[in-house]
Amino acid sequence: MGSGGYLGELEQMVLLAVRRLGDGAYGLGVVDVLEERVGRSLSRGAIYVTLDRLEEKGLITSRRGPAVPGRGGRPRRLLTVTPAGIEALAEARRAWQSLWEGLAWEES
Amino acid sequence: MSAPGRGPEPPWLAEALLALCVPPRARDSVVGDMAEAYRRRAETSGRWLGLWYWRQALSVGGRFVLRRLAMHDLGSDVRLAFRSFVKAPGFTLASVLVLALGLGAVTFMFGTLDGVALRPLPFPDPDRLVWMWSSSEQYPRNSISLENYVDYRDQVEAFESLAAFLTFRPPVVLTGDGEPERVVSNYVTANLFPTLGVPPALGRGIAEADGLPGASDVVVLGHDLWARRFGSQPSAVGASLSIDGVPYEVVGVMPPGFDYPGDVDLWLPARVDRGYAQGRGNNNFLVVGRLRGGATLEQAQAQADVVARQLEAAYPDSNLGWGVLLVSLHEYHFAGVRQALIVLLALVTLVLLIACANVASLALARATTRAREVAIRISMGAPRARVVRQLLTEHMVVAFAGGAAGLAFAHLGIRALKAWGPADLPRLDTVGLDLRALVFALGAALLAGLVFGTLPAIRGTSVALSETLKAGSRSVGGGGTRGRSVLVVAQVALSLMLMVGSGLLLRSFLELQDVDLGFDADNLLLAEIQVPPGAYPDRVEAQQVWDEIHAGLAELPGVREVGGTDQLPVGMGGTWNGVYAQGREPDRTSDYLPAQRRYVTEDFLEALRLPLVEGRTFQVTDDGESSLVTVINASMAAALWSGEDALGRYVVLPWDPPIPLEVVGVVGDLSDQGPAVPPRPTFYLPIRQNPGGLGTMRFVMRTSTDPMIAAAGLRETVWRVDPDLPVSSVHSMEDRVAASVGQPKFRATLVGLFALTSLILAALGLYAVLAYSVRQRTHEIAVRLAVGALSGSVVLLVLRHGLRLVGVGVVLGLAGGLLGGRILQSFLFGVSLGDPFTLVTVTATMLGVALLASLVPARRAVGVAPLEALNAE
Repeated sequence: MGSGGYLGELEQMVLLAVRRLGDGAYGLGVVDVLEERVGRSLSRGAIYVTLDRLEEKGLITSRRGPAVPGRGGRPRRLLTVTPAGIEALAEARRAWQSLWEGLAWEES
Repeated sequence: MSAPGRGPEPPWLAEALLALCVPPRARDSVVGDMAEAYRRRAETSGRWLGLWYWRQALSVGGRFVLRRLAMHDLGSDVRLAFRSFVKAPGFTLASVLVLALGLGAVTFMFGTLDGVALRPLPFPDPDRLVWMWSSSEQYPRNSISLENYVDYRDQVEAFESLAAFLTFRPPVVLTGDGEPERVVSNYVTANLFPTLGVPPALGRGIAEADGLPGASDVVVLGHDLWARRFGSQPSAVGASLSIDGVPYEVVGVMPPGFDYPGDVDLWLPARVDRGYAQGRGNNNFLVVGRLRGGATLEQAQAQADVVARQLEAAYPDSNLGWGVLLVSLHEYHFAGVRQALIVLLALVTLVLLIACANVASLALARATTRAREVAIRISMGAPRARVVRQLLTEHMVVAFAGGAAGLAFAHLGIRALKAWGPADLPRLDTVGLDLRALVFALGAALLAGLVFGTLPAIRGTSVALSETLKAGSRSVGGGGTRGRSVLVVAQVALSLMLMVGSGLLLRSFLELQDVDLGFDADNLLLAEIQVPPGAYPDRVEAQQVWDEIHAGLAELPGVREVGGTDQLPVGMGGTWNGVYAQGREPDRTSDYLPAQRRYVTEDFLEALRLPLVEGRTFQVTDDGESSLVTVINASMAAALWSGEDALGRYVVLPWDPPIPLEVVGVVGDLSDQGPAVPPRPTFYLPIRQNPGGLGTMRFVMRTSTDPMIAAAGLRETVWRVDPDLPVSSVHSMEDRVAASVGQPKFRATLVGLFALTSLILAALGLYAVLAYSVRQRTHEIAVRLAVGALSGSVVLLVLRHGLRLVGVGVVLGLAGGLLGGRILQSFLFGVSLGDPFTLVTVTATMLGVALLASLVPARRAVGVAPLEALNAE
């Protein structure tokens, strides 16, 4: 996943989910969005590891969020997609689109 | 439980594990999110919450660990390991489960042992604290008189200080503001707090002058009592507290948690001018001391021996034959339980060994099936060391997974122990999974990994290459089979040892249950009622109050008989006196017959259904006006007048002047200190002849149905007579008896669980070996069947193989059980080490289980389809 220049499937999903959530984006929100939009159950562990890796690659950044009760005193980490992340998403989308173009497909 | 408004907390252990797995930069995000998700789930569904969290935490944590490992070379080994696990899920699951059982049991026991007995006492420099027994040949561990104590305190130089406190902790009643309250007091010498090294939190402790004649009455409060009674106000110091109707000045408050010698609410100075403190034969005190820095227990003992000889010479009447015995305070408090727990730890180590042997044989079985894969990898040029490392890694991963699951088991076990463990296990509330238990578990897991990882790994690579490849799918030779057979024999032997041990403990416990207590313990309700001293100064009036209460209790629904006494049977044992038969006074006071003394109402012996051997029991007319009488038990009659008739003779209380009591009746013995202790000589006195009157009366009520039904109206009945009387300890005799065998029951249950675990493990091991051997011999069996062997003979073939292994294991296990059983000796009651019933039952159980474990593979062998099997070649 995601080693060459291209993003892996889960990486794309996670980046898009962070984008969708906007200002208040944080880990549990991403889990929720993916569960809701993608439908199938994704492993929580995989999502968090992906988030960690995306941050390492500089595709998202995180900052300390407000202290929210019920987290055992641990603040949320708010997530933002970096310009590099947006660029990577756009590139992935171009690649997919060009591959899909002209293919006939009927969803059964 | 959680504070209001904060909601439920995720399981702490799972959360800590998760935090450990996640790198610090992601910790807030992941662990916090998980807590949030947990909370949300708790609000919506709420079922299996803990389990859900554990699963999520393991999965998320596992991902991060894998990711971290992947960055190192080890990662590829671990990944390979996981891949091979996925290929053999049954093997992996079995190994992890087996290890989890073993490691869980060890961690659980270590956590308990550590919390209960290994941690030091909560006093500064606990190593210097010692306990001093008064000691004679007949009574090696006895209490001591205050006068003797003073001599040791002043003359033994090795002691920095030596303190004494009263053997019993008299309950007292606090009156004044608020409702009357019954609390526990203790009379102590001035230096008790400094000796233990615990200064008062507030005010001062007890001073030397407080114990002298004419001193004013002072009291030091326990922290809880201070909070309860004085709302934690510092102004309590200097305030007055009414104890048993007498005003005492509060001079100090002890720090929280301090209740030495146990459950004490307040401390009063031991007064040298009181009866309990006078006379060298009046052994009413217990003694703790602090050694001088650099002094040893042996030095102190030697110096004390010198003092003891001087005292013997100076006071032969009371001191002849008496010395002192010093032991460390830690040993005094924990020796009993520590021994029990160390035995349990030894037994549980057996379980761990069995688990390791089991996993080893599983791994060995797998190693042989993988021999081909290994051979191919080596022939393709993989370095041998690399292959060994790979195999070892696999086992380490299994060991760690087993360790983690075992930790969860241990956690559950400790929670169960706290909920159901015996109440008299010291410091039970401090037991927990602490860091040291965690380290221990991890160490055990690693060791287990090495032990069962090495053997198969070495074997796996040493199989001659060409042979292995040539042999094709039937690749494996007999060496591995022998190794596994040895392991099965070991497992059977070890678990049989455990079963023998648990069988003996269980029998002991059942024997204890069966002991005839000497009275009818069914349907007896017990209650304690206390009259504050001074409340009824008039003897006659006080007796009237007791009579009214007595009559009221008799009217309670379902109550058929009522009796009262100062000391209930079955418990710590109460007051005793040295006595002698009139006309046979011994020369030395130490030769008096120690006998339990109990004041009772005229209907007490009947209410207990204590059998009357001869003579009569008490009557209402046995009062202050008539001559003094006593009823003695059979043991006492035998000890004083063996074989002769005791009726009409006199028992003498050697007081000043001596008091003769006429024996008017003899009753049966009762087990006064619980079923494990044989009955002692006991004499009963009529309560109406008690010159002082009773401050506390303990009632027994014989009911026609469940005694606790009658308990409902009990307090109201008492309070109709006097609303100021505290009523406490309302319980049934059945509970009282059950509490006295709490520890044996606990031991039997615990060891029984271990034995069951080990039996399951051994059965699994046997099954695995036989199943494997059947698979290996499919070809041979198919040939046999094809040439006309009867299926019965094939079944026998497999069974014989299994039972031969078990037979050897059983013989070794029985021998080991008989030898090792000796560590259990002191916990056995009414059953011998070689108890044939236990040995036969245990052996039969093992053989039965072994037969079951062998039958499945045997049936599978019969099911082999000859053609298919042969074609498969």
